Amino acid sequence: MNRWGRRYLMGWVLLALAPACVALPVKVVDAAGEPVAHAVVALFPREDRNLAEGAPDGPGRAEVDQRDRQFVPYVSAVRTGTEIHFPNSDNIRHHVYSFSPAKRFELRLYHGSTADPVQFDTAGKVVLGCNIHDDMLAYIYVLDTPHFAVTDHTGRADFAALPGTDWAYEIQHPRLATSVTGILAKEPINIGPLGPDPRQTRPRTELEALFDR
Amino acid sequence: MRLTYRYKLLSILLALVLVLVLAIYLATRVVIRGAVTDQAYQDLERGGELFSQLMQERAGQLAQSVGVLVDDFGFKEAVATSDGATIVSALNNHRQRVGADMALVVEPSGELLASSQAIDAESFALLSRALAGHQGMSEPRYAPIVLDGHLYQFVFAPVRAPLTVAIAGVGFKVDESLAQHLQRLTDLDVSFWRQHEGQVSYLAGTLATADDRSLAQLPDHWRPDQPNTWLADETLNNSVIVAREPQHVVAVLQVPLEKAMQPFAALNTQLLTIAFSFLLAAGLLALLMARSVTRPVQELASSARKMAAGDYASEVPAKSADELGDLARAFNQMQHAIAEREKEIIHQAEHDALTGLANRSQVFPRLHAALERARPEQAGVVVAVADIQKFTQINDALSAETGDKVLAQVARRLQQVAGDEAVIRLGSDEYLLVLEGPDPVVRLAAVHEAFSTSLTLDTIDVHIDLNVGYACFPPDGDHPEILLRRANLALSEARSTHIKTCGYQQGWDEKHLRRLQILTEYPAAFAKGEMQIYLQPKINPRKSDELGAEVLIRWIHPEMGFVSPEEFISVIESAGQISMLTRWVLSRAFAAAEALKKAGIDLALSVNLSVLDLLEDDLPDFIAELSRRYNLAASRIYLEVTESAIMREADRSLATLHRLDAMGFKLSIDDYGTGFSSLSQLKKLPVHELKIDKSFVMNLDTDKNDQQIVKSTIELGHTLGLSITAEGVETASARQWLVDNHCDILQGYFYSKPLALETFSDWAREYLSGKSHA
Repeated sequence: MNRWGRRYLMGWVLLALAPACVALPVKVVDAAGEPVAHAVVALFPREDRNLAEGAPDGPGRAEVDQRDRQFVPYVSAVRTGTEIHFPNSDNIRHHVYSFSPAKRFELRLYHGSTADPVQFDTAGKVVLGCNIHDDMLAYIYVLDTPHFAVTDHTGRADFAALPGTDWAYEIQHPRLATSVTGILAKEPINIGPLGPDPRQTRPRTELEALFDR
Repeated sequence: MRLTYRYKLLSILLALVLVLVLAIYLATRVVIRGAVTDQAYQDLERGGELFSQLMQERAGQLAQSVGVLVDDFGFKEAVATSDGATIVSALNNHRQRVGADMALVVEPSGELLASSQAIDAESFALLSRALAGHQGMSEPRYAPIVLDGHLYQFVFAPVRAPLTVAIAGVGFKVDESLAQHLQRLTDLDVSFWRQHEGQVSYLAGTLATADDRSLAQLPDHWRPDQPNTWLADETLNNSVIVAREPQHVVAVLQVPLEKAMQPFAALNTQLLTIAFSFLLAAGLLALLMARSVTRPVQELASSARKMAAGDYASEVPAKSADELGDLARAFNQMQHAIAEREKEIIHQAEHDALTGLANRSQVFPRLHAALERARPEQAGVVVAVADIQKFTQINDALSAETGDKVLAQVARRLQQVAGDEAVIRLGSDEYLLVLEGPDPVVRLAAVHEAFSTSLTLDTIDVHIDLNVGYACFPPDGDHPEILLRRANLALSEARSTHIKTCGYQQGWDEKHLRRLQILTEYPAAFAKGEMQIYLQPKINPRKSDELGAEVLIRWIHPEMGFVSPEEFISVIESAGQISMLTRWVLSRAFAAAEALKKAGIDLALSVNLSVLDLLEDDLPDFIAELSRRYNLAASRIYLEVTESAIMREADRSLATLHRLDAMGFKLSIDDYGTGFSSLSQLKKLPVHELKIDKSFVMNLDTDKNDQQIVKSTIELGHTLGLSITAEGVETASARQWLVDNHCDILQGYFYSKPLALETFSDWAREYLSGKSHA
C-alpha cells in the first residue's frame, strides 16, 4: 500500500468525523499556481471566530504513526483538546519529542502502542521530531475550530456543508513562515511562494543503509 | 732561478688542481643543490598535500565535536526553549570538553543567542559573514576566521529540534601548539598568514623569530586561487589556501634549503677533504717534480761554478737515464775535455814549444819556490843566466832550422846537468839555470864540461860555448828580481870580458842602477838647466889673433853632483840615445858662436860627434840648417869624431863624413893614437885635422917615446896636409916642445880649463887683445 492511499484513508476518517453537511472543496495553490499538498486549511465564521467553538462535535482522537522512520502523516490537523496517539509501527524504538510552545512533550524510547496518548490543549503548530532519528519530522497543527482540513496532493481540502454564513480561512503550511488568511471564495486560494522544504533529503549513510530492510 | 722554476711549477700545478677541484666541487654543489631543491620542492608539495589533508581531517574532527554538541537533546531543548543560561553553560561545558576556544549559538535570523564569552560587534559581523547564506545548512560548515588577530577554525552546525532552531558555532584557535603539531607531521615550518589588500600579516606558526615572520609580501607570481611554491632567502615556501571567505588566509609551509641540504653537509665536508688532499698531493708532487729537475740542474750549476773556479774534478752524478742524465753525462765529458785542453794550454803557456823547457813566465814562480825551499835550510841557490856564444853567427852560417835544433839540444844538455825543472828558456839563446842543493857554484863548472863535446846536428858537428853569469843566494840578494838582474849583469860582464863564467860582484848592481838613473834622468836635465856647455880654447901659437874652442858638456846633477861626460855619454851612447844630446850641444854651440861673434870674438868651434850621429842621414842637413840660421861659415865648424867610431860602421860613417865635407864643414879625428886606424884608412877620410890624444901629450916633458910618437904624428899629418892639434897641454915646457915641433894648435889647462860661456867670453876678449901670457 502506498503513502497516498493511506492518506486518503485517513482523510476519509477525518471527514467521517465531520457533521453531515454540504461538502465544500477548497483548493490551495502556490505562487506558481501549482497545487500545494499538506496545507492546513482552517475555516472560521467571518463575523465571530468563536462561533466555531463546540461545533460540529467535541475534540476527538487522532494518531500519528511512525513507519519506516517517518511520521505518518507528515502533516496533521487536530482540534484543541484532541489526544493523539503515537503508535510505533517500526521494529526500532523512537523518542518522539516536541519543543513547540503549543505543546512540549517527550515520549521516551518505546515500542508499539505502549506510549500514552498526548493531549493537545493549545492551538498552534507543533513540530514533532525523533531524538534518535533526526530526519523524522512531522507537523501537528492544533486548531481552535472544528472546520479544518489538510490538502491532498492535488491541493484540495474537502469540507462538509457549512452553515450559510461567510467564512474566513487561515492556511498554514510547513513551508510557510506565517499563516495565510482570507475570505473563503470559490476560487483556489493562492498562498504565495513557499519556503524550502524542511524535510531533510540527506542521503542515508552506509551504516543506516545496512540497517534498512 | 731554481726557486723560480720550483714556484712556477708549483703554482701551475696547484692552480690546475685548484681549478679542477673547484670545478668538480662547484659542479657537484650545483647538481646536488638542484637535486635537493627539486626534492625539497616535491617534499614541500607533498607536505602541502599532507597539510591540506590534515587540515581537512581536523575540520572533520572539529565538525564531529560540534555535532556532538548540537545532537545533545538537552542542548537542543535548551536552545529550542530559549533557555539562555542553560545554553551558555552548555556551550562552556562543551567548549571545555572538546578543547575549543569559543562557542556560540546564533538564531537562524542571525541574532546572537548565546556565546561562551563576550564577542565584540566586529568579530560578530565577521562570523555573520561566514554564515551568510548558510542559515539553512544541513551539514556542519567549516570556516577559518581571523578574529582580533587570531585565526580560529570555526565549525558551524545547525541545532535541529527537529527543524533548525539555531546554529551553533565552535571556534578552535590556531596556535603555536597546533602549528608545531603540523610541523611534526609534515616536517615543515608551518605559519598562517592573513592576506589583506596585498599585504600579509603573521597570525600563528612555528616561525621563531620576528625576522622570519616578516614575510612582507608574497611573490609576484603568487595567485590566491592556487597553490604556490617559491624560493626566497634560501627558503622554499609553499602556500596553501586555508580560507577565502570572509578573509583570505593562507598557510605558508617552509623548509630552509640549508635543512634540505643537511644530509649533504657530510658530502660537502668529504668533497672539501678530497679537494684539500688533492691540493696537498699536487703540491707535494710539484715539489718532488721540481726537485727532480732542480736538483740535477743545481748540481750542474754548482759543478759549472767549480769549473769556472778551475776545479775540473767535480763529477756530476748522472744516474738517471732521462734528458737530465744525458745532460749530466755530456757535462762531464765537456768537463774532461776542457780540463785536458786547459792543461795543454797551460803547458803551452808555461813552456817553450821549441825546447820543451819552461818559458819566461815561470821564472819568478820557480825562483820564488827555490828560495822558499832554500831559506829554512839556510841552503844556497845559484841563479845563472847562460847564452850561446856567437849564436847569431851559427844561425846565419847554417840555417834558422839548425839554430832551432841547437837551441833544443843545448836545452837537453843543460837539463842533464842541472835537472829538468831547473832550466828555463828566457828567450832567443838565453837560458836560466836555478841550481839548488850542495855546492851549486861547483856544479856550474859541469855546465861548461857538458859542451866539451860537439853537438851533432844531422850531419854536422857544431861546437858550442856558453857565457854564464850568475848570482848567489843569499849573498848576492834574497829576492828573485834582484838575483835575476845581477845574474844578467854578470852575464853581460862575461860576454864583454869573454870570461865563460862570471859571478856577480859587489857594486855592479849600483853601477848598473846609476846608469839607469842617468838614462832616465838626462832628458829632463836639459830643461832643468843641469846641462851646460863649456868652451875650452884652441890656441894657434903662431897666430895670436886666431882662436878656436872645443865645445864640451857639463852635467851638474842635484843628487849625483858632477857627472863626468865620459860616463854619461857612454851610457847614453850605449842606450842609442846620443842623437838628442848631440843636437842639443850643436844648437847651443851655434848659439854661443853667434853670441861671441856679436861680441866681436870670431871663433872656430869644435863639436864632438858620436859614431851613432854619423849613422843618422839627416845630421848633415841639421848642421847645415844651424849654420844658415846662425849665419856661421861652415869652414869655422870642426866636427870631431873618434877614429874607433869611424871604424865601426865604416861605410855609412864615411858617407856622412863625405856629405859634411862637401858642405864645407871641417872634420877632425879626435883621440888620435888610441885606436888602430891604419894610414890607408886615414888617407881615405875627408879629414882636415888630427887631434893627438892627451895621453901622449901630458907626459911629453919626460917620455921620449911619447915625444917620438907625437913628433912622427905631426910630421905624418903635415905630410897628408892635415892640421895637428895637441890636447892636454898643461905645462909651459910641453907647449914649448910642441911649438918647436910645429904642432899647429894647442889645447889644454896650460891655456885654460873649459869655461862657461860668460867666462870664456871674457877670457877670449883678453886673449885676443894680447894681454895674455902669449
